[in-house]
Amino acid sequence: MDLQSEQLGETLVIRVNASRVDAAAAIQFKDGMRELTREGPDRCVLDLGQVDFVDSSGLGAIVASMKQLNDGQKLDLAALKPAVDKVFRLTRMDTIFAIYTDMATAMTYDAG
Amino acid sequence: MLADTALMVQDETIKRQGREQAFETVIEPDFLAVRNTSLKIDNHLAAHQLPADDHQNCSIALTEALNNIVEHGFANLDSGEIRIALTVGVTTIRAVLTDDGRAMPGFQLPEGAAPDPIDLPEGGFGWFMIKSLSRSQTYERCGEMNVLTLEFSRGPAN
Repeated sequence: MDLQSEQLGETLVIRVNASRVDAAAAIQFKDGMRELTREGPDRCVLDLGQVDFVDSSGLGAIVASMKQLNDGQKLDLAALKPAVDKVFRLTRMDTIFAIYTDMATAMTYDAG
Repeated sequence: MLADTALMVQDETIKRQGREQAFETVIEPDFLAVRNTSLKIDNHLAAHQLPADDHQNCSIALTEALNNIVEHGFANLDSGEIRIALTVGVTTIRAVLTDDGRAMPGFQLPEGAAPDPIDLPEGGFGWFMIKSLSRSQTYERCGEMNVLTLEFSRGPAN
């Protein structure tokens, strides 16, 4: 699972460089996220702009990534493609994350 | 790893059946094989230029169904196979998934209740998603085989 992280201001941006977060990748994803969020700023944004497909295991791994954060850290999501957005809406898991249309919008949060 | 997955795909044909095109394949019960097949199903659906919602519904539900078969039907089993037959008709998309894994509990489909987001669930969405996204679901235990048929509505082209 190729996860690329970069700190921009007070935000840790984690880009998923893969087309799928699925059952075959879920454990690697969760472990990778634990490593990347172990230290660093309180706000993390997961850039899903490259991800075409998330299945329920991938969704579970994203939820697990949020639950394993340190106290005070939060995980926002950005740039969900249509099939990914559909899974979040269908399961109503869009109600437990702040979700931004794109990375530019996600980053305006810092200015505010 | 991906090369291994390719080898697991033992048989794959795209046949003409009357005016319908069928996608048929046999895979090992393995998450990487499911991923590989899910990508091929996506290509097959794309070739039919379905409305985006119909394509997504079918793609998501079939991947969930296959993952469920691997996770539950074949848990702690060494070998087996899953057969997939997908036909895209004029008004209906039909998938028949046959496997020689364990039977569904009680020989019936799971209830598929939606987990509550407030509990921050990490799983349990599979059958809720399948039932939400497909028009009908039929399960039968036939001898040592499970036969799951999912049907999806195919709307008019965009």
